[in-house]
Amino acid sequence: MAFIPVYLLILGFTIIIDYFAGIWLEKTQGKERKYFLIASLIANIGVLAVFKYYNFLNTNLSELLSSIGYINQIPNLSIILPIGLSFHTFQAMSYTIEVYRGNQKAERNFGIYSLYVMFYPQLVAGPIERPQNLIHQFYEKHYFEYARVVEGLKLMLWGLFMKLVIADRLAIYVNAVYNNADQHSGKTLALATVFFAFQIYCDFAGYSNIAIGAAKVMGFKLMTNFNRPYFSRSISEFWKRWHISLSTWFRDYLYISLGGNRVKVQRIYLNLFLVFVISGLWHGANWTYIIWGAINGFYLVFAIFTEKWRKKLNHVIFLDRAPHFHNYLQIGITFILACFAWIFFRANNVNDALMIVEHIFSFQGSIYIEDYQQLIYGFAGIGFLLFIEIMREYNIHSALPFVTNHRYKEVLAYTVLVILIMTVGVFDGGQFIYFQF
Amino acid sequence: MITKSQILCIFYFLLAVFLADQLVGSVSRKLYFTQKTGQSACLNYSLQKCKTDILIFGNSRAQHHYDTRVLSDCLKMSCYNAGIDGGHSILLPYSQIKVMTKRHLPKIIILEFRPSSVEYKEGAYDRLSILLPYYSKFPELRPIIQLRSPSEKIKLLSAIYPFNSDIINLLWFNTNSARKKDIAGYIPFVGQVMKINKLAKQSQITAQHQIATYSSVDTNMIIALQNIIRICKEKNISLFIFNSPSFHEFNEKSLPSPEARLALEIINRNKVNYVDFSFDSRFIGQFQWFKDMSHLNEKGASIYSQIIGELIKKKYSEILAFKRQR
Repeated sequence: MAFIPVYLLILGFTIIIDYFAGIWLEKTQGKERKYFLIASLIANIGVLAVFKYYNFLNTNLSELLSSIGYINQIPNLSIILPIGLSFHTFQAMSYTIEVYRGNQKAERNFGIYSLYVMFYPQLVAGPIERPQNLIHQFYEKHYFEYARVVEGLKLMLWGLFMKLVIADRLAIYVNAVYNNADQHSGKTLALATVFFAFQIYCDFAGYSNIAIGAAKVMGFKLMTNFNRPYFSRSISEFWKRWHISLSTWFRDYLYISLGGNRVKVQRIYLNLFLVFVISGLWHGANWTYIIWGAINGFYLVFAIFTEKWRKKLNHVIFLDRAPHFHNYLQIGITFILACFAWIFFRANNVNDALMIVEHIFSFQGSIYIEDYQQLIYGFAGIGFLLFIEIMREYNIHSALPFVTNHRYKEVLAYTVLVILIMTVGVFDGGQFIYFQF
Repeated sequence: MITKSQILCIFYFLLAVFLADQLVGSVSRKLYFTQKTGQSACLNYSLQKCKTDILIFGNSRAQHHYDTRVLSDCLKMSCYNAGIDGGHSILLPYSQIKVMTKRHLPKIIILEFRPSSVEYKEGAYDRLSILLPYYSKFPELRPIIQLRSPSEKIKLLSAIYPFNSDIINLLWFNTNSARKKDIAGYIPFVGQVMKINKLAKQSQITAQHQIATYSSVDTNMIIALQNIIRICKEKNISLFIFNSPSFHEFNEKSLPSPEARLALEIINRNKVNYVDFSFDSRFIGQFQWFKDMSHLNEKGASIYSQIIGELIKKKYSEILAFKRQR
């Protein structure tokens, strides 16, 4: 990762366009408003298209043309994707759409609008905030409040723990396996895939906690981005708990714009599938992400399509009479389905992903263990996380991992957390995965 | 406003963190220097005690490719393999040579080296973490350790930091024997490379192409290479640099990168004995001699060690004869 000052111009360009678009959207009426909205969306999507998707599209076009005997003369661009481009572009787009819909007044203060797009805790990887939630907070006075600052710092510490102790530790095993996928057994690939499910969760939810915590220290409230997604009982619920700011963005601005639930059922299927394919593409210009999105879209369509039959089946096999068992079974199945989709998200390319899918169900060979220590840390980290998450899911319902009325017990708990980070945290683990998007 | 009890709470928290850091750190330090087996015990032995005639340095390919029994038999000299798993940068061998040659002068140094390792790679400095426990003991290592990051000095204020991620190994290697026992530093690999399928091959070629596209020279690596050569010349140690065999199904050798050419130029200019076995026809396509794409198994390592043993024997006798003539 490198800091390239000229890339700030991209941010400047979208800020200026959307700032004026917002004002004009408010001032004008009728068709003219629509044109301003379209112009703003084209500018934002255009920046994304050039920096994120141009080379992908051009490379695929070249391959398509060469397969029918033509040579594509258009060269690829030698550009690096600015970090967090997809996040701040989507945040900027939500502003113009909300102004267009009349839910948000156009912001006249250029500094405040710029701050909305560039608010540093969430600039590079979200949560993607709505203007209604964030802009008014910039006008409020923020005073030092001990309890709030401490809560923010605790959230940041928990985020650091998730990132350094769990995500980066699991990444060592996952990278070793996925980067040489052909050399590993089905069992190893299955273990690495489960590890990746926890890695990406702890990486991204860890970042979100740090961002939300940092904002809280300064007196700002950002939206919750993760709500223990691996306790979901269906893929539909999973997407209500995973990357909530993006899921709701797609729901509010794309799915509803395509007709939402008001259209024919076949159209709902198509729209859902389309939204998830686009969500996959949002994550990266690679077929692996598109397939990952398509798999999730398929899960949702399949779930709606078979809902009645599944209810009947549950009744026939008495599952509806054992609600607890049914719950756990649903959580298990949802986790397995999510893991299957993660294969495509993590694989270096589609060929690798297909090879992993081919091998993963064979369950032949032994589990790859280069260093017992890594596996012990990995399993211990997941165990600790699950313990905390189970407590929070079924008991304490708090954003913070340790909640007690006894102040010194809490001091002790957070001291242990700091020492664990220092003792077993990975300090050379690299960047957050979602920075690349 | 902050109340008195809130200030006390902050104070107790900071005090608890400080005390826990000192306690865990000093127990870890004690355990570190009493390890009987494992990578750190080998490093500790090589830095502080080893006095053999032949010393082998490099990364995991050094540790698993140079069978000390074969080399000792062939050259009739004592031999120790100080290769470090995961030590992809030449800075590690340089650090080891810098410290060890102050205490003991070997007759021969064998350096496992891939010329392409002088290319800039993110994470190349990570493995220098293995030297952190020696930061206070060997001042000559400090400038090298500080290359890890500008904040390294600050991180080292913590007593735990030098032993980060090592706690299980520290306990394990003090109470139990290592899973893979070393033979004078050499750890043989068991197993055989799996035949790769077409899909995997395609993705490997793509990945290699991507790596080749974005590289630049890492001047720290170049300086380390030059310094190793200089130390050996100054201290009259015969230096042999090898790039040991890698698994290739077919002979698809491509031209070295400009960075690798620069490293080769330095080696040639200084008239160092260098042999590149990475595309040696005797090893190409030999599944039974490789553990994985980059590592020989015990059988392969034994054959390879025999080959280089004979080569060193011949060259070393020529060097000795030349020295006697002078």
